[in-house]
Amino acid sequence: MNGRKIRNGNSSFLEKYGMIGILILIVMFFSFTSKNFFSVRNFSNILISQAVMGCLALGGMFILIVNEFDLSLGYILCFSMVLGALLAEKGVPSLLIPVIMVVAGSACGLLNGLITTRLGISSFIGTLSVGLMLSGISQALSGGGILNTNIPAGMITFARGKIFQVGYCVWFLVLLCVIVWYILNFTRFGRHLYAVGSSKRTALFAGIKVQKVQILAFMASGFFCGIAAVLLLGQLGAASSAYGTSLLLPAYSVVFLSKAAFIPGKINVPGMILGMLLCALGENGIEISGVSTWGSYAFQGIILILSIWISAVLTERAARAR
Amino acid sequence: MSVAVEKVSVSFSGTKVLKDVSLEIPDGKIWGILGANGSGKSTLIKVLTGIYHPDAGQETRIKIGDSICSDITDSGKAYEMGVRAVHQESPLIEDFTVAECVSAFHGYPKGRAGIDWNAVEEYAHEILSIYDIDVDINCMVRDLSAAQRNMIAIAIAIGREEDLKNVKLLILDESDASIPESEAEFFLDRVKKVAARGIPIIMITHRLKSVMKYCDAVTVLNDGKNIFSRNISEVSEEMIITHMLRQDEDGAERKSDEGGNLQGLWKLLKIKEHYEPGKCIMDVKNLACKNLKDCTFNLCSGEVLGIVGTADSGISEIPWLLAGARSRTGGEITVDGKKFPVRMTSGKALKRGVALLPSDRPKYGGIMECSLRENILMPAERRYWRHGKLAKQAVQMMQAVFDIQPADSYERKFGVMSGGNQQKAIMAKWMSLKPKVFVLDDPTYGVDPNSRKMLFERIKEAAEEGMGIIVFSTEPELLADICTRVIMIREGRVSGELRKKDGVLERETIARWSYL
Repeated sequence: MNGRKIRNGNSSFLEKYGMIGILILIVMFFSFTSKNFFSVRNFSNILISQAVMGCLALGGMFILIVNEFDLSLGYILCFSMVLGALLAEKGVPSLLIPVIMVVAGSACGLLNGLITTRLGISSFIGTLSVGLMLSGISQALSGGGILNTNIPAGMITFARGKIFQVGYCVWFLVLLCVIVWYILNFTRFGRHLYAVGSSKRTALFAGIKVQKVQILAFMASGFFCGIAAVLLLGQLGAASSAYGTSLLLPAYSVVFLSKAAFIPGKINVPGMILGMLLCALGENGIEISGVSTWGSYAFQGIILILSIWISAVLTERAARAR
Repeated sequence: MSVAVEKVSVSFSGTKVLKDVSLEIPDGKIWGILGANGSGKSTLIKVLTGIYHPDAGQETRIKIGDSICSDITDSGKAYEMGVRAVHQESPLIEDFTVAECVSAFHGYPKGRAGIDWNAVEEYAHEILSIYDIDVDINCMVRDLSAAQRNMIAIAIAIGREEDLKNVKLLILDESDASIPESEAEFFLDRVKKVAARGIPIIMITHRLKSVMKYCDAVTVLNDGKNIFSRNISEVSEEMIITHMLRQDEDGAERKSDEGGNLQGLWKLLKIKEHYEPGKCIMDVKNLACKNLKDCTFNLCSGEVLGIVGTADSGISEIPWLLAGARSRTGGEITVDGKKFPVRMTSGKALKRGVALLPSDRPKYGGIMECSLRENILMPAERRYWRHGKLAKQAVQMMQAVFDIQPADSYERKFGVMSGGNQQKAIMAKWMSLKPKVFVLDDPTYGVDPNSRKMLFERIKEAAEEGMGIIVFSTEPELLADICTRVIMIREGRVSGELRKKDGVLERETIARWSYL
């Protein structure tokens, strides 16, 4: 596929596939330290538990590619969940609930986009404010408690059930990954995302409608938050204003990690999947080995630092080669 | 078909920047437009690209190909009329490959399943081959050399065979400035090929050699007027240079001591530094860094040394190296007997008595967000800490000596002051430290004529007191006025020196050094 070369230029084998090696090493290491690690059941469960974060990461990709920052991801997730649970409690038809949740997420994304482009507020502050606002709304809607009545059975089965040993939600995530990969590599919009992320001024000069691209990026991220919310609500079977907000940084760290694989220096889907597997298997391995929860937090932190550093080195190296 | 401009004038806030300029360019000719900074050439170009608008006039006309109008309303209309412009730093998308960058500007070819990458590849090959550009289309844009970038920018600006007929005018706005001389020929050969297809080309460049070799005709602008337009066979370099020089300006003429002088300022601040006029205060040997290969010169107390050179000669490194902002890769810098360490910082340079007035004022000259007072006292804050009265007196005196306006308040943001006043304040800031060597990089950029006079006055005064001064400028008039000696940098080395003869420094010679 020479299309890949035209999009991504030339880079060495190690730069592209080195991370696979690291993944294999981690798998081998933990397979030795614990009997339960290397099993279909364990891997399948890991993947299900990562599905929500994977959705958030897909949404986060759009934002990070255009070089903005969206701090409201976790809050949109939470808001959408609470909204869905509330509607379920009120007896809204089951098929409508996921749709409303996703639309709500996209609407929040649209709000973020408008604030950043029309009001000219930096996305960092703008999205943080929107996030905090949503957090307040979530608390109000949930009355401070946990909503768990009447969650549609379909959602729960979808989020927890398996087919061919692999969770429904995991298959769904794979489908979403393929769609996002296609958008990023084969549509004008996707390529425009990279152009805007490279330099807004140059993109404008090239005739790209920069503001429109930015707004759509924020909406996409909100859209995926909505989907993640549907999954999480199904998995937990309950919603509260406290759930979901801690997923922001792990999602971002996984997106940064993607810069270290397959397309060095560029955020990409296969790299993100690899990064996700790396983090998930690593964390799981640590937990199974018996290190208490601080181990997995520390692991998350280390991975985040490593991934940002590696991606900076790789992008810098390409720039310095000039 | 051709391009013509008739009786175009442009004014900004009452000042006429272009005065009734008329010009005609036949098809297929490369037409050079030359003029010093402020002569109006960039204004003329901006009129042609729809960014500036000519004053209303009975006979004002702009004709491009078949379309005639009296004002190109915006860049969209300029594009429709067939104007294509390539600027000095033509933006390309750094993170894309060459192939994708071309498609990003022109539109991605679509296949049945989204973007057709094979078509992208073919298109890129096609465009590059029209102009004979030998670049790997899978190469990342950020890895390209300046010459390659500019060629690709031109290729993108003009487009394919079928787009060529829509191009009625190609403007190259100093697009060869960032290309080293050795590669410039390569670039300009391609430009000639474009002209061969019948497109009129306007080329703005400072490289007289290129003009003499590649242009078919030239127009010289001076002070907003079209001084002459002739075929290249009828002109000589001397003619061009002489006509480009600004008409006579008196050097600084101001009643001295009206607002106080530098001596008074230094006395107030109780500065211990003592000058010994004539002593060799700075010695630069074999200095090397990036384009600078082997630069050697010295400076004596009380001298005003001018340094000129073309953009790629390595001259742009020197102010930063002297001020410690960059570390040299070779050679020695010695100030008053003390050598500069290899790893330099600007703090170290300041301690050794070297101050710099940088060229990019908003970025490096002053902090736009802070007040005038904060800016002007910044380098010596410790002196004023807890000495509020001294601080106030210092600012007042500096304001008087340098005639910094507005005089009523020192708390206003630096950023709202005019360029000239900002520059005066920055000069005050550094001169108040009584440095041994004061380096000025392009001090008159964006500075109004009155402020220029004040700056010159102060430079002369400081030199008389014994400060060693180095001035970098692309304005030969300025250098001829205030310098006692001028050296030229070429290809990384000092390759010429001019001393004041009978009280006069030849502007023509300096101009030739700047432009050739």
